[in-house]
Amino acid sequence: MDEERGRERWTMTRHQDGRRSIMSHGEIDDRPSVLRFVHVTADADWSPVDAFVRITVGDEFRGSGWYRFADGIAECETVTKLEGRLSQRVPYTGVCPGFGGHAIQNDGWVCASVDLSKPGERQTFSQLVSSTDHRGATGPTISEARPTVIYVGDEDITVGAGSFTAHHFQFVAVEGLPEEHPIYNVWTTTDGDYIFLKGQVDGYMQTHYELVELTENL
Amino acid sequence: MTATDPNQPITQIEHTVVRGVIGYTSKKPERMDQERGREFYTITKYGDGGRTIGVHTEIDDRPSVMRDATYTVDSNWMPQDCFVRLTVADKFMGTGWFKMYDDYTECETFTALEGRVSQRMNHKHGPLKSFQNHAIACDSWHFAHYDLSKGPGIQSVDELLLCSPDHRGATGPMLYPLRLDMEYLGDEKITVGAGTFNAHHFQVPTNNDLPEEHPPYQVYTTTDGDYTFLKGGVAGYMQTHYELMEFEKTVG
Repeated sequence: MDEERGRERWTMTRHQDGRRSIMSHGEIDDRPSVLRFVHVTADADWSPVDAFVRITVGDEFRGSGWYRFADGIAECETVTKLEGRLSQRVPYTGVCPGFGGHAIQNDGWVCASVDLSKPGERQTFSQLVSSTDHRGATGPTISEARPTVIYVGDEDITVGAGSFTAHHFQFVAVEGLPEEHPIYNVWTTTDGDYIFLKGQVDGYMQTHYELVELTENL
Repeated sequence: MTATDPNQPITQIEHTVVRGVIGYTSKKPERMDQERGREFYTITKYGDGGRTIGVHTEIDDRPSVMRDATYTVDSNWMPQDCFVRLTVADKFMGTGWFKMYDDYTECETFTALEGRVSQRMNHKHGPLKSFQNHAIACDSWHFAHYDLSKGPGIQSVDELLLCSPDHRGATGPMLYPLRLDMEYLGDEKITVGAGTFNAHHFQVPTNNDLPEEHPPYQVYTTTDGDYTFLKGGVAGYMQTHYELMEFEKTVG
C-alpha cells in the first residue's frame, strides 16, 4: 500500500495562439519497467498537431515514433523492435480526435474532449492512441480507441502539489483495447489547462497517480 | 508483454535519471550577464549504457526560439534517433523525427517553410558518430568521440549531421551534413551554479563550413564519462554564455 511504483516529470508550454505542448518523461518501475518520453502538441481546440513517443520496456528499446495530424490524415512514422519500420496513415473526418501518448498528464488532456455541459451522462468519443496496451508498452503505432467518460462534477481536492478545485471524470469503458480497462477516475484543473491532479485505476491495476509538484517558471 | 518472473523483485530499476537546468546569459557589454534563455533536461541512462535526453530549450532573444528535443545515443555515443520540435517567434516552425541506421539517416519532417519532407542521407564515413540537435546539453556529447588518451590537440568527426545549419538551430528541422573539429585543451577545476567540478576543456574552432561562419565555442564537460555540459561560451558576434545551474540525480 502506497509504495512508489513510478513517476513522471513534464513541462508544458502555452503559446499566444492557444497551442499547448507537453513534454513528459514517465517511468513505471513495475517489472517489466516502462520508460517513456512523450511529446504532444495540441491546438487551441485540443486537436492534436504532432506528437512523439519513445518507449523502453524492461530496460530495452521498444520503439520510437513520430506523429502528424493534418488534412484528414493521422500519420505515424515509427520504428519498433517487434514491427520494424512502419509508415501508417489513418484517415479521419472533421476535427482530428485527441491523441493519447500514455503520459499520465496526457490523460488529463483527453478529458478536454468531454462536454462539461452534460454532467452525469455517458459520453463516448474517438481517441487516437500510441498503444492499446494498458501501460502503453507496445508500439508506438497508431490505433483508434473509444473511451466512454462521465463528467461527475467539480470537487475541491488536495494533492501533494496543493489544493485545487477539480473537474472529476470517470472513464467507465474503453472500446478498442485488447483487454478491458478497469474504471479510471481522473481529476483535472478547471482553469482550461486540464492539468492532471489525481487519478485512480480500479480492478486488477489498483494504481494511484497524484500531482506532487507544480511550478510555473515563466 | 513480457511475462513477469515471480522469482524477481516486482520492480525493475536498471536505469539512472538525472535532471539539469542550464542558464543562458549574454556577455555583450551592453547586456552583460543578463539572462537570455534557459534549458531544462532529463537524461535517462539505461542499464546497457545507452542514454536518452529529453530537453526543453528557450532562447528569449528576438525572434524567440523554443525547442523540444528527445535524443538517444547508444553506449558508444552513437546516435540512434531524435525528435525535434521548433517554435520561432512563438509560431510553429517545424516538427521532425530522425532515425539513424548504419549506412544512412532518415528524416521525416513537417516545417512551416518546406512542408512535408522525407529525407534520406547516406553516410560517407560509416555509422554516424554524432548528431547536432542544438540543445546545449548535447553539445558536450560530441566530445565523447575525442580520444583523450592522445592528450590535448585537435581531432575531427568527419561527418556530423545537424537538424539545422542555423547558429541557433532555428530552421527545419531537416538534415544538414558537417565536419566537426574538436580541440582538447586539458583539464581544469571549475565552479558553476550547480557546484564545483573537475572538467575537460574543449573548443570547437571557427567553423567555415556553415552558411555563416560560426565563432569559436568553448565547452567544459564533466570528466566522469557522462560528458555533462558544465559551462560554455561562444565568442565573436554571439558573446553567449551557458552554465549548468542545477543538477541532481533523481533515480538510481
